[in-house]
Amino acid sequence: MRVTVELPQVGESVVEGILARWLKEPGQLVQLYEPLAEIVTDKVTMELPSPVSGRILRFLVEEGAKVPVGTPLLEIETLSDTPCDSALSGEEAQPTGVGVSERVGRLLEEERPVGPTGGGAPPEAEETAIRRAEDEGAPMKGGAALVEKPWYSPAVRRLAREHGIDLETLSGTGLGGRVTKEDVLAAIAQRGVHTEEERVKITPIRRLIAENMQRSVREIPQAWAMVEVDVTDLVLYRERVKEDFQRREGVKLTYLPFVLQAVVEGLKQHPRLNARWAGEHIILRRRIHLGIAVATEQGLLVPVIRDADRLSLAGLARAVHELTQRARQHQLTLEDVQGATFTVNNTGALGVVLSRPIVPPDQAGILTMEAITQRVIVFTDRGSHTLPKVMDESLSSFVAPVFSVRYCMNMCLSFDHRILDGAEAAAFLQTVKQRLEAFSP
Amino acid sequence: MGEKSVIEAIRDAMREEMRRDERVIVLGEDVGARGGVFLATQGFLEEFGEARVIDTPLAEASIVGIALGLALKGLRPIAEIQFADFAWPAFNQLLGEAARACYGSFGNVRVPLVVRIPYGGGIRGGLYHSQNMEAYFFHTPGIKVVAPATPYDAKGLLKAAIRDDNPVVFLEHKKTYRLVRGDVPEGEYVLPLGKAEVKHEGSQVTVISYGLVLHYCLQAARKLASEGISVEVVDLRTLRPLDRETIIGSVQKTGKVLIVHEDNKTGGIGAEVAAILAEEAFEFLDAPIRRLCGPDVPTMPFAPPLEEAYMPTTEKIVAALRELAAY
Amino acid sequence: MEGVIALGRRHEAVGLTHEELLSLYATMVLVRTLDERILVLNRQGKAPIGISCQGHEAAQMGSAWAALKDGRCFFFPYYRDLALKVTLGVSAYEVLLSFLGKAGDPFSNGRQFPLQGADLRRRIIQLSNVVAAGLPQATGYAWACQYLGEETVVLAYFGDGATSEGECHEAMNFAGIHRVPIVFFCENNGYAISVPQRKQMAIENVATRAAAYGFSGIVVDGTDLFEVYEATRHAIEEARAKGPILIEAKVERLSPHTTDDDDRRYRSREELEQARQRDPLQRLRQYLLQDGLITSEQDTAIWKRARQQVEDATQQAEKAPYPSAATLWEHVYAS
Repeated sequence: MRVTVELPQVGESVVEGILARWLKEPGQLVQLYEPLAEIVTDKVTMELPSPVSGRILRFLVEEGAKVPVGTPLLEIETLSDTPCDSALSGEEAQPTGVGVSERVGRLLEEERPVGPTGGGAPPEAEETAIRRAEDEGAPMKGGAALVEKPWYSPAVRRLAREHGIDLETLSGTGLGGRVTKEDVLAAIAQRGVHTEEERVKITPIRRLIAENMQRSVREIPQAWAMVEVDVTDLVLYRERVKEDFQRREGVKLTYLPFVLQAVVEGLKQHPRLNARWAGEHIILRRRIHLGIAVATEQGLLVPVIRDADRLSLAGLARAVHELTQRARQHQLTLEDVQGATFTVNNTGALGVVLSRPIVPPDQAGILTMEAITQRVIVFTDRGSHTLPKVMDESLSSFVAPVFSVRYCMNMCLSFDHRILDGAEAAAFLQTVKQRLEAFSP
Repeated sequence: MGEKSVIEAIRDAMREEMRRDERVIVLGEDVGARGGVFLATQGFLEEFGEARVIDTPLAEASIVGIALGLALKGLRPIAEIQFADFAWPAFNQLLGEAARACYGSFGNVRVPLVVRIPYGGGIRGGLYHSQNMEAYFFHTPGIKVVAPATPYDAKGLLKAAIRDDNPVVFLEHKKTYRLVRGDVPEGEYVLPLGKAEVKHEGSQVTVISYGLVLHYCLQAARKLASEGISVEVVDLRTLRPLDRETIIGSVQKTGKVLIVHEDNKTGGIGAEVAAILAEEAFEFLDAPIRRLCGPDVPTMPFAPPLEEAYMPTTEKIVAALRELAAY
Repeated sequence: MEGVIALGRRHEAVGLTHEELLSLYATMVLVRTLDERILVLNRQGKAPIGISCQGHEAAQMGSAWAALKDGRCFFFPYYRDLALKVTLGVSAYEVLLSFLGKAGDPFSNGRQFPLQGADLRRRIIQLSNVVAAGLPQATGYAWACQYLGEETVVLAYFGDGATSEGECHEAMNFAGIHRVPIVFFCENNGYAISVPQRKQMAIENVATRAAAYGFSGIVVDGTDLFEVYEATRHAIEEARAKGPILIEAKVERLSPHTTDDDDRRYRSREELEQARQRDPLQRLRQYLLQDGLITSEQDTAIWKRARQQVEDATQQAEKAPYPSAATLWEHVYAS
């Protein structure tokens, strides 16, 4: 019986997946539950188990294709219904030592053939010269010569598609200049050697990132604001406590947990940053799930710390550590990457001081923490970073500025201007900034 | 291991099965005292007696009809129709009755019947000793159709047919009876019905065939090998059920296929094989599916040049394969 | 069979007890009631086809009863043998399942025309309704029984039309040559659909053909239960001991060929009236009543019970399910 295997519904909100890689080949046997393929959804890779035992007939989808849930992926012939097995007894044994070529036998030409009605002595059958009778079928038409545009056979098209070959660049060695299967196979073998361009296949994650970014830019009107944060006290504080922390908690204390705590507070005070646009409504979310961007060799992954507001600093540090590990080892599950309500990106780790992040779809904002640099800051009051009044109206009172070398970290917020305006964005930034500046050294 | 002809292999198969199982009965015209007009049952009357080797009246409908009655009672009859050309009256009992008995009784009865039929031409048989009629049997659900080309296959498949609980039409190309010889092992062996065999491996073009002309295909493949064209030869062996897996697998590998059979082209087995390939191996085809078959005239005529014009030959097959390889 | 037998004692003369007699009568009444009911179901659109055996009952039942009592017989009936099959044990319910094409029909599970396929429990095989196709099969089956050393006698039933088929000739020819233990039982009702006997054959009696095959053929009055019973009893013994025998039972076909036929197109009203005079059921009924073998109250009770049986069976069969479409692919091949 032929069974069609479709892409199953694996997650509540999953509507499609990418068939990253086939793990079997057509013609192979497969056991029940044996993995058939790797499927990537929301940047997480899963294996698709076979629903039956049988023999794989053919694939219906090629590697790399993105398909909606429910799409038929392959066909399997179950073994139980193989028709018409002959009723062989248990006694039969396969003969040994008879190779195919010996068993094929030979056709005798010189012997007297059997008479038309059986045994007996029919007249001598002479081997008369065989006239070449006309072949009944029409001669084969040259594929390319007969049609105006180049014609490609199904095998040629399939191979070209599977391997990303541009057929128009090939010349054919077949009848009438037709591009043959062999021509395509040769091109595949030689690819990249003499051309000016190189084609790079899109990985499933790259494709997903591309689509998400495109969708976000398309749908969300993004505005941007930035603050400078004086993190000197934070730096000193961290220096002081980090070794004890590591010993006690078993994980490193980076700046990110501090930032996450500040973000949590900011979100609590400015709930519109923890919301999403829903057309007729803005949906404020009560729970805070922070997505933290992690750069991996495959691409940017964003695992989620759920209920970040309920975690202590140590809890946040541990969560960050664990998720980052798993991300880098390709062990994130679908749940790990779903459901973020706000995202934080440590672009500073890359040495960047200013960035303009893109708000992830279904969120209100994304905040970066840039590299911590040392700068000379002018301030008039302690704790204030406003530029001094260098001159008053009379030009006679000149307040000498105080300079200091401080640790500074920019924080950049991109936000969904449908949900909130610059004032609230700025207020959020201020809250975060104040929280981070409120450490005693 | 000895070398046998096809007719010897067939005789051995029947003899072994009759020795093994007392329920096996042979019946047909001239099968007894004469030993069969092709000597397929030579010596059987002496060894097994009149009770098990029945010389029937000249009445094909009842040769099969009575054999069917034997099968319904649980015997395992082998009915011989002397020539395919005379099988038409037996179609009622074979295709109308035997093929439908298990289905029509919801499995209450089964029909372990074998009908052996010499067929095919190239022996100056004219219109009534050369006919191919495999397509008619091939079309009918409920029976199995076997057409071996070699002694080894003939023996193993006939034994399987005799042991099968379904009606099996066993087609024997009469020109292969004495003209095809090959190794047949001494010991007991049975081959599975429903399995084709790659008789010659290749990579560029597949040729699918059965019966006598399979050997012409093999000759063509060997000739083309020396020209650097790699041809894979698939022997269907069983026509119904077709071994779709082997057929499709070979074409998936080569991308080009030629189907060769002696039977008339239109509605022949090649048409079904071509349809299966178009349906299930479309993405692997690098050339149109080709058929080289007997022309659509009512069987090959008696006069030698006409018979030669009708028959597929090694030369015709070579030419077609060359053309296909170059496509 | 011959000779003068006292009124009311004919059944004893052929070896039937009173109980058997009543049982046979009750069965014949049941068959007639069933036959009528099938006609009604057809006219209601529930049974696609009805094939009546009216007029044939004595021939079918007399022979069946003799075979059952022998206990070593096997049957290859034809499409008109409703009374035969009921006598062999097919229940009214099963008959109706079969006519309605329902699952549970013992012959073919609803795949075939009514009551054909194989009911091996009742020792019946009827693979098709291709006329005469079963005769070579019956002959082969009987030959096989003999080969296996069994004492089985096969009864092969057919009508007058079947005797024109080549396969009938081939079967009888082979049977005669090999002295096969078979009783060829021809229910000659003088019609093959609309073709009367005089256009079907050049002879008066089918039975005369037996001589051409080297065995004997006898003619019996197929409307006489006792004559049929006696003849069949002897025939079975002869078939077992010597070889084939042909019984030609002359009967009347009281209904059209099937419910798709209108016999008024080719039979006059007078002819049909005359035929009804030879209704075997009325004949048996007369025999029972006129010598007090049953009372008219008992008779009424028998008819009433038959109607109830058929009513119950109809209701049950109408409620039964059809075979599921999922079974379409089953049993194409034996595994």
